Amino acid sequence: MKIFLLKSQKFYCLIVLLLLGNFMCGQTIKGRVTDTLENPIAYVNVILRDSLNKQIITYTTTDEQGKYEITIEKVGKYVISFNALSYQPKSEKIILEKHDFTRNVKLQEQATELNEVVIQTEKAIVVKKDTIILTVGAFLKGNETTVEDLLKNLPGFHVEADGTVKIGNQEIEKVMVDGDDFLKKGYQLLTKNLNADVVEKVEIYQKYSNNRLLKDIENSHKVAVNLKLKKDRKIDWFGNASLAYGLTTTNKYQVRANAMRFGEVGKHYFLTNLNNVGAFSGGESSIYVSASDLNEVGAIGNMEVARNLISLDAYELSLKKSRFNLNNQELLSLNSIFKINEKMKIKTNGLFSWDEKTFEQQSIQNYTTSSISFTNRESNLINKNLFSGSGAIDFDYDISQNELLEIDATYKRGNEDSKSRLEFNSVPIHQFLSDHNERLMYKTIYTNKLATKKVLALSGVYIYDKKPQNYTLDTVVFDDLFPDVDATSARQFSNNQMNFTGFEAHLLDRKKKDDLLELKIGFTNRIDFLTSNLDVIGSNGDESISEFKNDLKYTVGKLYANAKYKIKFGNYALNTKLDFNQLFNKFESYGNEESQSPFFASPSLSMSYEFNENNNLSLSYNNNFTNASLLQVFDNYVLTNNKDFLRGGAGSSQVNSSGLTLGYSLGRWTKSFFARARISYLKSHDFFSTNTIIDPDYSLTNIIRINDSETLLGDVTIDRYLKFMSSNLKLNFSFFKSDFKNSVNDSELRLVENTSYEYGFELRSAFDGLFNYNLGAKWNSSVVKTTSRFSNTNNTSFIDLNFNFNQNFNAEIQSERYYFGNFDTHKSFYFLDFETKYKMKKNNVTFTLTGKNLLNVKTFRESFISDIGTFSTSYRLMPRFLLLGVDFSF
Amino acid sequence: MKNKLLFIFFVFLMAPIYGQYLYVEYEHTVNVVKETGSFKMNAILVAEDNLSHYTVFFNNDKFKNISNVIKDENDDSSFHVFTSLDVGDSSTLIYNKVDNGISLNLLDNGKPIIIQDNGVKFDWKLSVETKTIQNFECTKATVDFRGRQYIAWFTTDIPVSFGPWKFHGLPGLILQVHDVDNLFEWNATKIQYPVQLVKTLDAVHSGANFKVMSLRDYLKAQSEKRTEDEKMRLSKLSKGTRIVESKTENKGIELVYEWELDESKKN
Repeated sequence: MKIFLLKSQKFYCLIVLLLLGNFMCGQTIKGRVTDTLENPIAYVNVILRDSLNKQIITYTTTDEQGKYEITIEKVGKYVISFNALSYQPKSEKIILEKHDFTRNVKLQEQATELNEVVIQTEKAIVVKKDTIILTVGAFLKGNETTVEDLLKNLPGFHVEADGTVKIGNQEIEKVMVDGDDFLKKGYQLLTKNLNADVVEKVEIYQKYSNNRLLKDIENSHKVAVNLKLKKDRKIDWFGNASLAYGLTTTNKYQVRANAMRFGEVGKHYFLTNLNNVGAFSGGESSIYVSASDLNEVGAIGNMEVARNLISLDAYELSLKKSRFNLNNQELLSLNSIFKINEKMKIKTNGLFSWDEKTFEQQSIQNYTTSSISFTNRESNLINKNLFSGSGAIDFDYDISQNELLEIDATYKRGNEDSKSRLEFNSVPIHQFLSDHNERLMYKTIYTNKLATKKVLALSGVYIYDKKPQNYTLDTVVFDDLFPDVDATSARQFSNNQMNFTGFEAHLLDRKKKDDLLELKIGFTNRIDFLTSNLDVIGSNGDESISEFKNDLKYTVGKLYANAKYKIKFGNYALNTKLDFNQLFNKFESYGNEESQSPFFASPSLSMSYEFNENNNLSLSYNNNFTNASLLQVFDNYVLTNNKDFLRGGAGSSQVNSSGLTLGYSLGRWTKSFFARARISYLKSHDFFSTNTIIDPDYSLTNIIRINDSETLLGDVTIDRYLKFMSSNLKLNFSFFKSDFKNSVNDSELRLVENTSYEYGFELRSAFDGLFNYNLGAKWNSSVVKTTSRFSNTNNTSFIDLNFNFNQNFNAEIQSERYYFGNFDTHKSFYFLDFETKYKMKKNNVTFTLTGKNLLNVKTFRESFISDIGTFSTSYRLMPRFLLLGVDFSF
Repeated sequence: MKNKLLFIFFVFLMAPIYGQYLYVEYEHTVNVVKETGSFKMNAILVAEDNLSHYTVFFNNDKFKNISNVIKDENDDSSFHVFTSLDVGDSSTLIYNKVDNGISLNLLDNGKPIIIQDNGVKFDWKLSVETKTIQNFECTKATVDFRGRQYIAWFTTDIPVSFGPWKFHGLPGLILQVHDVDNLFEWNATKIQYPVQLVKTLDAVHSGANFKVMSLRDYLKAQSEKRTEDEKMRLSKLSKGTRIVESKTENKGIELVYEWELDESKKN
């Protein structure tokens, strides 16, 4: 019954010696644990430690009857202890022989009380409000070379095969380096190139705002990432390059290269792109895309531009641009950020682009109205030389915790020289257009956080935009307009210049329950100068200045205030907006002066109601006043191409329109079924229309202001995931109907009814294996009804096939079909493109093979209809080419 | 007389429900970042001899309510244990020592269900390493559990064999446990003994009539649904977007299961 209690050291030694050799067999200690009243105690921890009472050898717990059993392999000296809550722990030294033995224990009850706090240790991840800081060292696995590899190993990050970085399902907004951002959405250049070992910490900003003071006040869903570099790192130049050259066609190439350096004081990122394969390098449009939403803080002036009067190749073509972009482009982009001190930063961007473009087209224009009927035929070859250069300086000053100053200055200059060889109804005409433009923008934004949830932003902007154009025609067909001069050629010099000045105060106040109040007060002043002179040159070489000339100044002053309130109660959300505008218009032309100072108030309201997770209804109403712009008011004709003249002449005036939109959505995008329907009705109480004199050899268009036009449009989209074929089916239907009035050849106002329907489907697979497809078709049918009726039905369809042979090797084949119902012959066009990539993981080299326009379609023809006739145009395409390319880092 | 009878009846009704319980608050940290959602959750472990009841709170207010009750009324602090009806704000995991069964409640597609994960075994390796956490001498133990390696620190000073989440089977309360990648971490922040409860722990899941399924069946259904959801998402991408690679990565606590290993052994 009793276990062998140790009495003396000697005795113990003797026993050990005696039993030596038998110790390999397991012996069992068992017993029963009870309280002082002999009631069994269940779930008592029985722990066997070594003789020094340090290391736990084995352990068990008692069962419901208080019984326990411990098996141990080695005989020897141990300490056994019995622990249970509310009982006094008991421990005893034991000597274990080769015999099993039993040990029963009685535990004394004890009032135990614990009230302790355990203190935290340091963490690899720190979560602050909306910011997560990851210490890189804790997550390194040793296989990282670039930042992209690093991000893959960080919890929560997901880097897609194309380099898109996501956190959860949300793509990140930008990747900053020590708080500086120069690549914006083009962050992949950085993540794919920057070495992982320079990064110390990765910070994730949620609900990100570009202006730190607007954080949590404006509505934001953006996520941004910041890389904190190690201070001791000597940071050098690094970059990558990709080179591709034509296989079958000589002298087709595409070159891209990046070089960058991130120092403590200066950070630089340089990029170049050279190609003649029709590719767009992203530098065509402005790189300073910011605050495109006019409601954002500091967006004042972002939409203000001076317009060109003449454009020689202005067609809205349905084919994707890279198919007919016959180019030879060189682009250089230089970006640097300099830190003056802890609070001041200067950012410089330079973008230079050179391009040579060719555009060749033939068109047939059938004009048919109640008064005229004729056909014009044109063929045109345009060669363009383009240069544009721009420089920007941003100065950021963190004045204090609650104040921020941002000064941006941008200067852009461009030259565009076009030569066109035109054949108009067999008359050869040479056109020369020289376009120079210049734009300067200077903006200051001062933001002050007045209270924790209240921000005031003051913005000031000055813009100067100048678009002079010099246009020469060596032969004119519109000589009937100038019977006095036997006109053979003509020249027009025009200049459109704009000065814009604006100030705005914008207050954002987030109330309790997250309601948002926005107030804006501002004054803007825009002055447009337009000069144009058309010189007609007679057969004898005499120049005479025609009556087609302008010299005017149009000033629009606007004092405005608007209030917006966003409120949510229950399942309802309500957005109300009220706009007040006081305009000061002044029009001066050849000594005539006209002034007007109208006042408008326009309300808008939108509501949404969520029945439940799957049903959502929205309704919005708005009323808008639009002031006539320069192009609607200039009072004498200008030539806009070889035979068309345009005159504003609507006078200083405004048009008013109201719109009503009803929307309903059923299901969710993330669910297998999702449908959305929307219907809008727009009533223009007044609108700008045209009165056009059409003659085979010229047209004269006047802008007129008339009443009442209506537009009704709607669309339905249905998304249905088909489980049995692992594919998503998308159905689209949309219609558009608009009634307006215009006048042709001084006719009475005639009603023009435009009706169009578009319907189509798309099917996209998500198979697990090697192969996937995406196919679809779209039909478009339109009717224009006036005194005559024109109709048109077109169809486009596509099939894309994807092959992922393995992670490093993939290919894609794309095919497209275009069908034009109005053509008698050659109604269809087919395109086939191909792309394959092979990545050698070891040395980070990727090989690409790209084939475009494999069926070598040389020209593409499409048709249009309008209220005055039907047109078809055919244009030259980029011929077939194959490019073999290699990408590598240095 | 009538009142007295009522009183007796009342006492009789209440008597079995009171008991002495161990109360531990844990900070349950999930370092798998998502763009939304909390990364630190508070959890409460309540334990009696053969049962432990671990509740993770998604709604921090509810946690605070309980935590304050415990703090304010020291001696006879009592509170309602969360029932399955509270699922959504919290999730409760019950470990029953008698049949070595784990059952937990959670929302499946908006409906609360109970998942049974029975026969879970932790094959702890005890270490000689010790450290002190707030006056408790702790011993280190390591375990490989369902695809992750964990390091736990337990103290024999608190003689229960429970811990946060599914962890159990050490000869003392687990005060700290984390996986070697530091993605999941549990740290005890407050320990109190004894506290009183108004309800027995085992009543929690049986009270409501929810659907019960085994973890294995649940996961099978989940995985089928996830694969289908992923396919659906990919098939909804717009034209021109290319899918070069797509895989669903398991970033959950449990990466592999015993039965999966058994299956792969068979193959």
